[in-house]
Amino acid sequence: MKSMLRQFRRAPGRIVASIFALALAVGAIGVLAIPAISSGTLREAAAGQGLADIVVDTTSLDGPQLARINQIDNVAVAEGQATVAVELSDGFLTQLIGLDFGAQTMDIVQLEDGRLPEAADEVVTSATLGELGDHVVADGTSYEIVGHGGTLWWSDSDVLYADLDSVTALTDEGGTNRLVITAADDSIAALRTIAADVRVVLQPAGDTYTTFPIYLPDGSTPIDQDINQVSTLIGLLGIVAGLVALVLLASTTNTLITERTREVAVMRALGGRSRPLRRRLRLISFGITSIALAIGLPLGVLISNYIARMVLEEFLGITPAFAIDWRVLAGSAIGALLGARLVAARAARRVTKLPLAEALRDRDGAPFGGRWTHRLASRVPFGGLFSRIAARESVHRPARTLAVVVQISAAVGAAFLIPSLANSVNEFNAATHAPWAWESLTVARDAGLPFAESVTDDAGGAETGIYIEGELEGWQIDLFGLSPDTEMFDPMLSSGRWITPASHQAVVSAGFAARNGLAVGDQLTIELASGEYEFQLVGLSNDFSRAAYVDRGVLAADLGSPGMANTVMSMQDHPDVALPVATRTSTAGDLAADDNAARAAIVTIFGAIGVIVAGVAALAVLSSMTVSLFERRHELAAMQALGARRRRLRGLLIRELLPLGALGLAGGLALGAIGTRGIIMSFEASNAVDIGVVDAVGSIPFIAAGTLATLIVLALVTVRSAARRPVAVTLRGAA
Amino acid sequence: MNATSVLTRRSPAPPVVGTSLVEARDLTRIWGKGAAAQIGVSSVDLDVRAGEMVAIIGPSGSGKSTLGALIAGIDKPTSGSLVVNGTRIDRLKTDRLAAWRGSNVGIVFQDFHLLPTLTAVENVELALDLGKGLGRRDRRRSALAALDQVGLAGHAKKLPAQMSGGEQQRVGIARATVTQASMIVADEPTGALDQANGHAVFELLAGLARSGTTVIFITHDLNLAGAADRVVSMIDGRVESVNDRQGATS
Repeated sequence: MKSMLRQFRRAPGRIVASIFALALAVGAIGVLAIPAISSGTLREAAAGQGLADIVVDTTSLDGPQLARINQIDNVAVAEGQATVAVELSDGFLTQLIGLDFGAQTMDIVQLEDGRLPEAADEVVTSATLGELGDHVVADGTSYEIVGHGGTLWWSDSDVLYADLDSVTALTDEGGTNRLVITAADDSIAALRTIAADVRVVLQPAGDTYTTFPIYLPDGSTPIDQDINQVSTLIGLLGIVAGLVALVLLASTTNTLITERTREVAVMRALGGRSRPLRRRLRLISFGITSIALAIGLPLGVLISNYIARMVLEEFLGITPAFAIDWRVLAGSAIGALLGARLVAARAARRVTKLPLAEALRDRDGAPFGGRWTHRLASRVPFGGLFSRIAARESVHRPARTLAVVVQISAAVGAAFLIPSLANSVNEFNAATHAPWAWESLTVARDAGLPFAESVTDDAGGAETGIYIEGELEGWQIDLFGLSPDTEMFDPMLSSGRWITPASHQAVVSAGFAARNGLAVGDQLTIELASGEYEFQLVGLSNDFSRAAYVDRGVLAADLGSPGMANTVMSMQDHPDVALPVATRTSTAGDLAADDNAARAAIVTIFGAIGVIVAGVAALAVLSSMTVSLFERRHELAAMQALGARRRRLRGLLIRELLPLGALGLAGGLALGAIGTRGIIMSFEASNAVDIGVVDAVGSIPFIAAGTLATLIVLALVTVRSAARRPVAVTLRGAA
Repeated sequence: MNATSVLTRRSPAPPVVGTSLVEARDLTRIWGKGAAAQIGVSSVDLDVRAGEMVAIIGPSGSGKSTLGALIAGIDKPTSGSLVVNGTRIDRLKTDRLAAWRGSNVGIVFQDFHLLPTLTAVENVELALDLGKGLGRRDRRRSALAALDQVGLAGHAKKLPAQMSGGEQQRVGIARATVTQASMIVADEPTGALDQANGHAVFELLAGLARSGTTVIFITHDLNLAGAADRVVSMIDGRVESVNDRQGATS
């Protein structure tokens, strides 16, 4: 401890910078704990509330049908629920959920206060919709709020929970219209088998699914995949920050150890053996890392818990319990300590292996001129004397030169990646909207096809269509049923042709087709809510989506509702069409705003990590320059003695840094471009869609200017610090 | 040639032109504060006339190097006044002082302090670049001439690491003289050299003094000190005595 305190007094600024940077990096790596923290909470909530393994909307089912479903092999429990889209008196669109509070085993409402509904006009809802005792009016019916609470499944929206009987009374045929199932074997294969068996049970009465079944195999929850993906990407950037911080630690350790060259030499001259001396020198790095870990590990725990809490509260409305992922803690601690040992070992070995005579004179034992590269550089007569010094110094210490280039590259890479990512997402959003001509999209809020496709026949500039989910090649896809002569969609075909009327033909997203080896002429098996159907692939669309486009009439018939539809596309902001069911209308502007909000969230997360990476990299460059100036302090003092003003020293340093900055800029832009492609490709691979990369070329001048300005500021700061000591004092230290 | 021959051939200093080149009054340099304070020099009064060759001697820790550093302008006194060549250098700010050094003083260091990445001729050029701001061709011509004067014309393109200590110190002297500064301050210029190289280097300094340059050198070697016009003897940061070549003591 005493030794550590002595070291701290020697170079408090450098040590604090190293500790700070390493602690930040360790903290950033802590985000890898988010999936574990979230998963624990989600699974706990799922177990407590009875999250189903299969969730699917159906046509109206009665008690005997549910009893038969409960008899299906591997079904543990099947329950019917009811959902009806309603509009509150203030225009808020929501769902009325009917649950059998007395007997249900799934989606059990967790009460925060109040009680469960006991009468037909009572509901439980979230506190945002009103206080206990308040009344909410939904589609003209008044309900008293008797409790506040919710379930995991609907936790992202403010819905009304009411007694099952009172809601089934509002459904078309008075039965349940939502089926939830838990299975004894919840593997995905077993769940699919159950879903197929249920279809068979429903068929005799002409009933069917009205949405595509949602499977939650192996105890998973609806947002597991999203949390994993975001956490992994943030964690990867955290690891980059960690590597940069280790470089900073290496620089600091190197300086602190190099400063003790003569002290160590004296010990060696007095008989000290190298191994114990090296061990003592490594303690410096160990001390810095230990303090950084003491700060960084709790910081990582706080960051991961904060983000997990933010995500779960935002998307699911549940507050996770404080949790620690010991594997991430242990991994980052071991990584940091091992890294610190490695970086310190090199410097310690160098100091203890210097020729004693050199070391006792506090020389670094690596004179310029000993290598052919030095001699070659000394014969290149370019620029003025200061330019030559700058160039030869870079050749003199190639490892440091490379380290500075890498550090600048890391910062530039992070700075380039963020706007490139934002640009790419922007362009992707625009590309997904490009094929569509409508100004507004009106979608039925209840499942199924609730209105006739002919409702728009008399309305100019409007068309009906079908929008549902289906499955193709193991992927869930958007399935659009459109009129073959639609004016609302331009397929932007990359190959093949558009669909012809009344045929089982499909146009599929080109990127999705390419990733799944599909080609024009192939026979496709598309699984719909109502079962599997064969379509011939006739064309590929450059729509940047994961979608298939089929004939509206054919799709309606396959779904068991011939002549029906569930969407209205209109050239106006509000279609002039009277629809008999609850709908939600979104304009192109609304959807663009939603896209922008999603993009902002992604860019904010990556931006925060990017700022950490850039900040740590800047600290690392500062540290490397400080080390460089420290090692050359006698040389710089001699120049001052000869009459060099600080401005000349700054000029020298800037001359040294500019080429490295240029290399770092080039490397960083390449790194940023590669990083952007890596992230986008990971999104493309995990979603089977074309997203595409649009490099933020417009940001390059700003990044270059920022890099230049930062390097100049760093040069000013380091020279100011180096020139503070009287020249004679520095020179005397060399004697 | 040995030190004695150098000393015996030493010519008298050029005529004194009246005013002192160096005027130090009550010069004090202290590092640190309170109990940890270290006294470098204390209340030193000293005058050095133009063209004089002055040796500063004294035991280790006596303050001779500190006094040399103050006169050369590479350190600043804690108190007192120091006028060199008509400039009150103790009042100059860092950058003005650097500029003053570049054109008024040549410094020779015990450890040479050549820039390791520059060749011999480039090291000499550097002094011209910093002190005189000459153009590249003039700089190169003057630097080669200075190297020629110290007998190193054939080593111009060598790096310091490729030269012996004596050769490096001769480059150091060429660097100190190339700006034709009116004063050379040399701190233990022969301290890191063997006897033969030490004598050769001293001969160069003596030659400079003969040509009218003021030379102040710090040394442990009483034989070398005896060749100076005056010998300033220091002890515990104070000037103990000043002896001229005729043996007069003040």
